[in-house]
Amino acid sequence: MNALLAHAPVAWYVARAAGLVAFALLTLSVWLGLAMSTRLLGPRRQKLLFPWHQTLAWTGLSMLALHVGALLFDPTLHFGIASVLAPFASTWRPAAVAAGVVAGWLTLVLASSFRFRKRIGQKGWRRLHYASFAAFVLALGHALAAGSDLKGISGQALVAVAAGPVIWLGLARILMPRSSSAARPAVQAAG
Amino acid sequence: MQRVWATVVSVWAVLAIVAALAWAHAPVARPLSQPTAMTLLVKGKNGTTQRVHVVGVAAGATTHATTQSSPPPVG
Repeated sequence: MNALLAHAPVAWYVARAAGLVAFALLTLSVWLGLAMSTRLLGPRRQKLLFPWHQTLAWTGLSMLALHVGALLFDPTLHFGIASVLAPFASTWRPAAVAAGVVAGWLTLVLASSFRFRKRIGQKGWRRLHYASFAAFVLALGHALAAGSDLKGISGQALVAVAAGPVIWLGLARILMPRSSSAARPAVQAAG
Repeated sequence: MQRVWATVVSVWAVLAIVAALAWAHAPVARPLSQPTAMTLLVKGKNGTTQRVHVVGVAAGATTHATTQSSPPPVG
């Protein structure tokens, strides 16, 4: 067992695992956010799901931190602090890594915005939340282009599973008539 | 409470994926077979029997086996 661990690229395994879990958590958070904004769910469910939307975003960010931290310890890729924090600073697949870096920063801004919601205002907060679409697309692109676990059929499956509900809920958000019902105050009260 | 649940589930998910990756990429450890030795009885043209001690090497090794002949039985 010790011999196996001595030769196993543990940092690389942790980086891959944390990246996949972070993407799953952030995707779930996007699904919940969209489901709440489309008001497909009743006001009571919205009130219940809003804290989960926040929690999933922050837990996803924690896993993202683990993903980045593990990459710093990988002896093969030789990532430095700048490579994982600044877009296009990485020499290894710069565009793919930059997509992940920008998605990470956007997610951090979006998650932090929950705390500054009152200062930003409801309208500004909602506008800021449109950046979550960009963050999702960039994260998906990063996972497909830089991830070593999502080549071929597994990549296509990820796109279908992760992006399918986002597209469906996004279309529902655009096409469904939005009535100024009691749903909005319910979410506001939850936040 | 939901933060605790989300953290616990996430950490277990990471550990499970790490274990799966390690399992999938683990080098296949081939059991090394012990060198085998056996004794053959070889009958000569003149009716004499000669014992031949064959010392083998581990399976999978590229080296050839060596033979070691015992001296002919006295008498």
